[in-house]
Amino acid sequence: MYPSNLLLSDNLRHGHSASWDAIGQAGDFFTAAQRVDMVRCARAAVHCELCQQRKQALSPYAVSGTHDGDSLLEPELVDMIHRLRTDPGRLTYAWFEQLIDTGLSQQEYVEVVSVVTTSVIVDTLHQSLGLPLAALPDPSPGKPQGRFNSKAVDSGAWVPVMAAANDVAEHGLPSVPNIVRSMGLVPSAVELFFTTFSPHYSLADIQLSISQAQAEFVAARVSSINECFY
Amino acid sequence: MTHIGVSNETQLRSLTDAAIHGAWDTLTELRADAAAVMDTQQITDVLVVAAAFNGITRVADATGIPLDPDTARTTFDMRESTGIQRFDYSEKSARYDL
Repeated sequence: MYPSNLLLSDNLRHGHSASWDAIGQAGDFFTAAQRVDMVRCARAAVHCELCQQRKQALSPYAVSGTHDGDSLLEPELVDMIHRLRTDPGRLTYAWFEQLIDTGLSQQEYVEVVSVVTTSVIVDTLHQSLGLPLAALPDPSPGKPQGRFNSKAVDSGAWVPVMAAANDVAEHGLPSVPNIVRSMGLVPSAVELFFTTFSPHYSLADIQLSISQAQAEFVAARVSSINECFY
Repeated sequence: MTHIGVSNETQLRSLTDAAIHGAWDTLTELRADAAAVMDTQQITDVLVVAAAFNGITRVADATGIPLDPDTARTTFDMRESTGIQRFDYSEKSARYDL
């Protein structure tokens, strides 16, 4: 997926390749073709006229219209993906509830979040390094298996999350941070996302050429831009 | 602009901002500029972290996941004094819902 001359770790290369392949396989609630289309939609969102109009509005919920790009997916899903890609900092619980009221299950919602956010990482890295976007994976046949975590719990998030003890690790931070639990309703969604994310960052003893403080500085800057309050 | 004492923070900030805002032409220039004080591996790793957080912040934004209880407790004073405390996901509803 990445040229060999780039200074990227083998773990990252393998993680991204594995995730990209996994997007091209059936998930637990969507077919491979639907998952690949989620990535296509997320890419189209970057240049979408409606998304740009919403970005300029005081409230993104004040502007209606049709998104650019063709898709296999239901319009509600296309809208979710475009908002998640272009204006994540202004997603609200009321918006989420309305989306669920259209008939989208929480499990389906979590899988979409996982696929789209995984593709955001892969695409952002490619473009940051001056590379063309990776070719979309070829969708494989197969049916969604419908597996989910029936023991997910309410932790105050919008969706049920993975149950975990509130232990603190040696570095003083939670041994299982809430963000790791957040997509725990669908274990395959957690696996997809963190296979991609984990080679990029760790809470302590970061295995990169920049210091932990520098990594935290970058992380905090991104969180600020994306209005991430976690 | 406020500096907080992290090495090369000017370069870290500008590289990150360009990557997250999708300013790819600017980013190409910034990478070249940053090479005066950082090596190629360090510049790459800044972008590696930025890309990761461009994804994981969206997971948090889309799930409304609350801060970890122990972290909330141990960082309360810092978050109160800096004003971060007033930011939570319910605040977004007040701000953006119609």
